[in-house]
Amino acid sequence: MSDFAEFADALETFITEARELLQDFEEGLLGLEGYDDTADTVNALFRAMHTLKGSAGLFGLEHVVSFTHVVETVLESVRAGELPVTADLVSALLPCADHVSSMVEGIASGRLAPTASEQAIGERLLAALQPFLEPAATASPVWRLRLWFGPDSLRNGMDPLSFLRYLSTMGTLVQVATRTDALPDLEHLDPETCYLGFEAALATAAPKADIEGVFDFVRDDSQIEIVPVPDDAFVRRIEQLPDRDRLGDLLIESGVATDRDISTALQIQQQDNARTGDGSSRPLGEILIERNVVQAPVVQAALSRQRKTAESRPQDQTIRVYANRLDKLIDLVGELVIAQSSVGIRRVDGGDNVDAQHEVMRLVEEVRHSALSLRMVPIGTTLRRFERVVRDVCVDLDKDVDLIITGGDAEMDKALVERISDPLTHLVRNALDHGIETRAERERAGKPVRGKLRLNAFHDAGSIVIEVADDGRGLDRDRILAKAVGNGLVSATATPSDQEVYDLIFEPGFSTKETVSSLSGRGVGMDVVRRNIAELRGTVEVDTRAGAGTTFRIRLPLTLAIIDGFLVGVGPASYIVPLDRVTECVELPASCAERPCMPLRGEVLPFIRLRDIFGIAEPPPRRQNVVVIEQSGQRAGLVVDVLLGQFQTVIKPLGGLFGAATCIGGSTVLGNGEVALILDVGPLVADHVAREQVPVLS
Amino acid sequence: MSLAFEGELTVMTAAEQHARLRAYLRGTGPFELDLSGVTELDTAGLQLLLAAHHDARQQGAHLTLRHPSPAVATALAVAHLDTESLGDL
Repeated sequence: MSDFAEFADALETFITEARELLQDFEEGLLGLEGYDDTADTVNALFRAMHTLKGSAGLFGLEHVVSFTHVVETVLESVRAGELPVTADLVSALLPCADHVSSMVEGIASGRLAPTASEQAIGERLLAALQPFLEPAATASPVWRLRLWFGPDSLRNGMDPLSFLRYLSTMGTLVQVATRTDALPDLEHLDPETCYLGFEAALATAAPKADIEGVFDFVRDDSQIEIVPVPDDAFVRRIEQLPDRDRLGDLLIESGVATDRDISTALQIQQQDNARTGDGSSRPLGEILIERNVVQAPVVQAALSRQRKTAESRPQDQTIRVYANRLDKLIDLVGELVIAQSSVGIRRVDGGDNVDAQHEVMRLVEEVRHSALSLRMVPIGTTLRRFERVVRDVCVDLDKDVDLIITGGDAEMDKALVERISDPLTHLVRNALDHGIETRAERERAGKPVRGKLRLNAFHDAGSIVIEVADDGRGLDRDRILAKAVGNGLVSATATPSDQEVYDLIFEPGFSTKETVSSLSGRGVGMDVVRRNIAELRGTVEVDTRAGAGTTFRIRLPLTLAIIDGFLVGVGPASYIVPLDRVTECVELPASCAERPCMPLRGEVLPFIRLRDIFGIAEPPPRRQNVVVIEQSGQRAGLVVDVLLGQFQTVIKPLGGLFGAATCIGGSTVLGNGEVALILDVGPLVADHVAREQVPVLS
Repeated sequence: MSLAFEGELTVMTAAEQHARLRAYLRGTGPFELDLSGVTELDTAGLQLLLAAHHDARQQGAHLTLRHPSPAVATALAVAHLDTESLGDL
């Protein structure tokens, strides 16, 4: 394919994608007006514009980039809760979507620059967005405070006036009224007793708990009432909160009520319950309104937010699939239906149906492959987008760099392709910016003046590997170490290995200065790159040689749903090891039963004992086995009781509760209904290695 | 003939100042309190001033607060008051 054909091909993808995004965008906007699931919708809107801007940037469509950038900024402040969603905002944004559509259609018909009238419309629309770009200090909610201090307050050193003074630092005291109702005649006045009361209106963004906290020391003998003034501010806040199942949580998080308010109300509810005895109690909201903690509109807003949480469903996302693959899947399912019915038929000769069962198993396997392949797309399209990035960055930096793309046919999960694009962009820009030297420097070093940046993708043992390799100056070990020592990441006396030093660039707080541009958007450091990749269950490593270049290697699983697993048993429990990580299995030599390692063909193989890691008390059987696993060139042996064989594993993610358990990648359900944990080999080995080594890093 | 306050007008001095005020208001009006020397005013001081106003009003006399020091003015401002509006309470 010629360069131009490839460009046209990629542009075609961009246009299709842009049309879809814009349609979603418009629907989302209209949904906003109906006060649908606001937070999620706003997020989706922001992402749509962000993606559009990013892709347009790759094609150098400056007019689209500059326009969408403004829309994105507006949406970002909505997302951050700084800008409320109003009908005005929606009506200002809708024509913007139309405008972007018309620009995209213009591009589709071969016009890569805007016409004069498009430019004029664009300017007019951006002017209309201006008021939203600098939102006026959003009106804070107003609280009505009634403060009757105890008679002994003054004697105890609590001066009501100083409380007022403190309140005025939390927000604005809109109004203060001094109540003299209790003040006696001058004759009968005890000069050290407090007679005055205050009523105040306080406008503040602080939650109720903070306001209440001011009066912690005087609450016992004073009467302090803090009531929100009926206002849209809380209603809006509640609408923007993330999903919560409980009314109380919504009210507390919006700051309109405190933990104490809610628990008091819940107590009343329980007492009611006990009194009536028939289990019918008044709703929590009603009690809160009656006790004047919050007003009806706020409770209404919280109730409808709660309802929406219950109704919220996964987003309706669409993906494009190749028609022939879908046809093949349907064919396979047809065959499966036939094969399955033949299993049920009793054979005339009285034999069993082993053949038919095997056929069903074979077909299930194929259906699985076929279903997964629906989500697979070649990575080439994503990689080719970088031609533009490289060209533009080279112009900016005044460098000559050839981009060489290999392995564009390698396929990977569509969801992964989308999410790997940002980290890749970052790596490419880094390589161009910091990796490859200027022309003069290259000449001095005796290298060809034109630099080389290689993007390579290939499949390797159940993963896809993407390499970003430059032939630049390589990482500067001393500079990295010096900076890490300066940042306190490494102690000054440590002598880390080269690889450990290079890995430091992925540490948070180590990012080198990154200029924020319209392309990379909001600049990210290498720690973000690593985190993004880890979220996809992938890893990133760096390989560098001074003067010869640096290679970043991203390793990702092909898919996120099903893996081939190797089932092992330890005591009563079963575990799954991803099969592509298993290199071999051997019996544990009796001589090594107590040792932390064993010899394997002349090399030392360190052990990881699952029995210890998972705290299994049951004593080991007489014979144990070792599963040899390999991760990024490091080998280790998992000591287990029994080997149970290969097992097709459907990954069920673990709940958020287990987020901290790094060595476990998920769980699965075995044929007998028991649950087995899936071991995440990467962290398991890394963890073990870290524990074995004398810590050099601080 | 005005009554001048010096130093704090707070709970620490309230008893003493209370006695001075009562003695002063037993005389004949119009009354005048000179606040130029007040270095600190708290709620105790504020309620003394308010009670003095009420007292004078009951006698049918007029009481004016003169020359509020910066300390007085800021303390009153916290409660959204000044020497004028104080008399209306």
